[in-house]
Amino acid sequence: MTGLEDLITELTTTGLETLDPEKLKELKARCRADISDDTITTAFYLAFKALNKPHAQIRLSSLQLINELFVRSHAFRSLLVEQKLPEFLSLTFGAYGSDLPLPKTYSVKLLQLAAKLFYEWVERYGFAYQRLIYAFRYLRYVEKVDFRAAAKEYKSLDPEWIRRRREMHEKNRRHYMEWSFYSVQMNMLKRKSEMVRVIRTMQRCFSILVPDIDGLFDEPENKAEGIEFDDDEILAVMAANRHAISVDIDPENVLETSESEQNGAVYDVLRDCLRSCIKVHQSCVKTWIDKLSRIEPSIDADVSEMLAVARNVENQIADAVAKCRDLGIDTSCIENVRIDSSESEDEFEDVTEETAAQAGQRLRNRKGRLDHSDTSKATKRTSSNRNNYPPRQNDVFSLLHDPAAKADPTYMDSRRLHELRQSIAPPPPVNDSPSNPIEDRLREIAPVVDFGPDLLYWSEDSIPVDTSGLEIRHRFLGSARDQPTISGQTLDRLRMRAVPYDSLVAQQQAGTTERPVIKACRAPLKNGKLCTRRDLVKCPFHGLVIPRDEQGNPSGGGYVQEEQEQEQEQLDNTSQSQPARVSTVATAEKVSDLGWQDIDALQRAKEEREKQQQREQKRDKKRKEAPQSALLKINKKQTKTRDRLKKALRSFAK
Amino acid sequence: MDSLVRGRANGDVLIRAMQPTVSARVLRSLALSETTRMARVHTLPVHSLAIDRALNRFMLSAGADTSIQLYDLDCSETAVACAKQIAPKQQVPSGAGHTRLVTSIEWYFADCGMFSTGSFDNTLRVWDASNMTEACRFDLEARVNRHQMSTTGAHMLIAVADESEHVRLCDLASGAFAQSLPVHGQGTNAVAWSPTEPYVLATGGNDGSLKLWDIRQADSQLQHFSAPSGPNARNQSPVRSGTQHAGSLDKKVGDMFFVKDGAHLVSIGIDHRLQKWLIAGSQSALLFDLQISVSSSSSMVNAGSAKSLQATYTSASDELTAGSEVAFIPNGDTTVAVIDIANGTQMALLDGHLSQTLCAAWRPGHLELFTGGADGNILKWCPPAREMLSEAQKRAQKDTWSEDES
Repeated sequence: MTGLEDLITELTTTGLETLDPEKLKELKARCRADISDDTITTAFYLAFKALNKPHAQIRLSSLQLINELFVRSHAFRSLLVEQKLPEFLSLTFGAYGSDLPLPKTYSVKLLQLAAKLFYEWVERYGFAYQRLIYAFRYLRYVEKVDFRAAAKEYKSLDPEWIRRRREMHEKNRRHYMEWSFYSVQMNMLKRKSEMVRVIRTMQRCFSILVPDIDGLFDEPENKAEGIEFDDDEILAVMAANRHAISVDIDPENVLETSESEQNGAVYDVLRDCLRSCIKVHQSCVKTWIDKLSRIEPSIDADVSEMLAVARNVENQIADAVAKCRDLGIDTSCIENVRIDSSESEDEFEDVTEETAAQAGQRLRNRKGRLDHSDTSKATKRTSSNRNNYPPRQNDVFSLLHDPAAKADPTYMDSRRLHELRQSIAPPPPVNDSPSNPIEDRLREIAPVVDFGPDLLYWSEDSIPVDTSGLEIRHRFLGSARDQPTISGQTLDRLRMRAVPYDSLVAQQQAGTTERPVIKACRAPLKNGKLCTRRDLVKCPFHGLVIPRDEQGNPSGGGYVQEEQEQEQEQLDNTSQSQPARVSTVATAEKVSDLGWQDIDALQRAKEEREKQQQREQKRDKKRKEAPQSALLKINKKQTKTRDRLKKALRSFAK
Repeated sequence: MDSLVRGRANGDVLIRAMQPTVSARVLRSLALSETTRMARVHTLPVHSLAIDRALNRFMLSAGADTSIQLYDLDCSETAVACAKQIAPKQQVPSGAGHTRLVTSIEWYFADCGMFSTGSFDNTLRVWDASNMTEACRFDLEARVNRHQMSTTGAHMLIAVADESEHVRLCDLASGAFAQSLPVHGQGTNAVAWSPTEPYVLATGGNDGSLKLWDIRQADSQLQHFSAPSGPNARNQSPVRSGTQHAGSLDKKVGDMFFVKDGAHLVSIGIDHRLQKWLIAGSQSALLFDLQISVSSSSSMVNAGSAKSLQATYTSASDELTAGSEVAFIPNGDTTVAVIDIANGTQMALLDGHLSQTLCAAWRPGHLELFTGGADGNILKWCPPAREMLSEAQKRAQKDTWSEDES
């Protein structure tokens, strides 16, 4: 069985996140080939020997190995459950006050993996190996191991759980449908009678306004009028004719129904009904239909019947509303009564001012669309209204039409905005007279830059500021004591272009894909620490950024090694945190000064990067020479502040 | 075993001769029950278990969470995934009764109508089991470690071992203390009434001293068990004496009980020492002194930190184990030792708990053992041969190698 031991040692000491599939396969094949369970027993003890090693990466691999065998062999499960369970818990979960080994990152992973696997074991095998359940209880309640993530993951993958969840979902859906059906049913019981009453009332009103007499008509001459009406209405009118009630059919106004003093009450009733129809009943019926159409017929036999009833009511309401429109009842004021409440308020105000004649006109206006002459008048009136009267005060946008607001520099007039947009829009391709060769030449050499605040102020000679008359000192613009304009100095500053130093752009320019690291200044400070400022070229306190040794002294040789480590550290840090976009801000006097970027500094940075690359290549070579194992060293002594200080003192004494 | 069976088949071996082998075999095979488990109701260590002696059906459990649970062991519901689960039928919820951890619980010996509890809140309480209400309370002004009521029925006295210098006898008939036995020491940890002599009481102190009392006499102390002398000392290992090692707390008597005949007393120290004494008149003799071997696999569980343990003892009441006298002793690590009291041998070590074992209760007539531990679990043990695994369980216990690994 020596081969087995080597195999398991090789499997567990790779330091990789996953086991070597080939070797694992070999191990499984050997375990399976032996019917007498001897191999699996040996493998069990060897796996536990590996698990006992105080290195988190080895434990992680061992745990994976144990899981592979656990889910396959009953003998392995029995051995683990009956003999080594407390030991297993202490080695993988840190139970019984034991500590998980270093490195820290892997011990965290070990704990997560252990929780995941153990939860899986309990779910799959707990009912046949009761001690697993007791162990789970122990971990959960005594050791307070957090199994929530593991449970979530397991449940998302396990087909049994998925099935159960689907069932639950189905159950919930049915439950909801039943509830929904019940609520609709109750709602219908409560409100249907009211709706029917309203519809009946409206129908009765219609029958009053438009007498409805069946079966009696002749000469459908009205068709020739070119105005289309419902057959019913024509029919009604025809019928009325037959009864020798003299009806003059006015081509302009076919339905002899205009609101007058006699039928005003009927109209009022109709208007009320219409209002309730539009505002309450229509939406209500709509929700009924929505809900009912979503309910499966298997929930209740009455669903389709109720749906038919609801559709019928909806049709009736729609019919009634259409008839109201035909009668010229203005529905717009009902439909959007919410939206322009100020309008209606205004109406009331107007009533007090307007004369009775105007009121009559308004009444006619309300009658609506069929009344062509009136509507045209009405539109005229409204248009004139818009022109003559100043826009009303708006509560929300109180500054909207305030003339004083236009002087406010923060105020953007919509008209001006429109003009601006047009002016910003690309000029017509055919440029006016090519008679300006100087301009053309200037255009050729002019740099193309993004629009920014500097260009905004480019052509401005004086910018008004602080028109309030009060003496205010602005944070950035300064005070304007003599004249209310920005001082020339400030204006110059406004015209400067701020260009952020983008490391990525610089990278592209330098032609490397690697992210440059801006190194800390690391000059020694009075408090014993090192300066942590990161500047590209020059620290404002300590001058040029130069290579320094551990104590912060400028150094030449022997530095490379340390710096490498440090860089590695930094790289690790940056790769863990978000992608760093270190940038500094510089300013240019004019746009033409865009070449501010110090060529020397860039050159230096480039050289630095090249050097770094070379170093990295060297390191890679070194790594290749080392034996292939991803195990991290855990017995490396960690340097602490105290040690560093001691070292510094020692070197100082020398 | 095979030869015995063959001999029995030929008629050479009497059934009585087979009995010890069979019973030992059955007891050795004890394992965690795979078909039944107890619901987890205790959130803190379970310190005491008791099964009633009238019906052998109702079990009480109590522990550090101060709640008292009553289980009907014959009544179980099928829980998720095959195994049956026994949930408590009734309970005294946490905080409703005792205010500190309950150290001992005991049924009234004659029926299931009454039980008593002792607790670290300095009280001994007697409960009405039918509605789980408190019937009577004794305030002892010291933490109660253990109590026991005589099973002879000659009197209604409950002997209470507590942290004071006296062992008090609480009289249920009058509701007052009947007597105080001066034990002179750091308190007592164990008491045991003789099953045959109604007035004989044994006490085990925190200092390791064992004493025998006759409660009728004015000078009531009968004996002080001490180091053996003479031919009775069979065990050659250095034997402790209560008087010699007074004061060393790891010599503390964990639990003690009389063997059924009343002539032998067994004491278990928390240092895993088991001693059997012969009581003959005013003389006592040590029959054997056994060091219980504790398994090494559970060594990381802190053994010995348990301040008390509650052992259970059974003799000859089951068909299969008739003739054997066995004690189940929680070891304070994850194990429970099965000790043959008759000849002083360790038969098995039951490893099932995930932390310290604290108490055990044997259910006579059913071959079932219940153990409670510091992990708050109560485990059920029984011979695996008695269990019928469900199909799903059998399936789960099969090997599942995939085909490509052959």
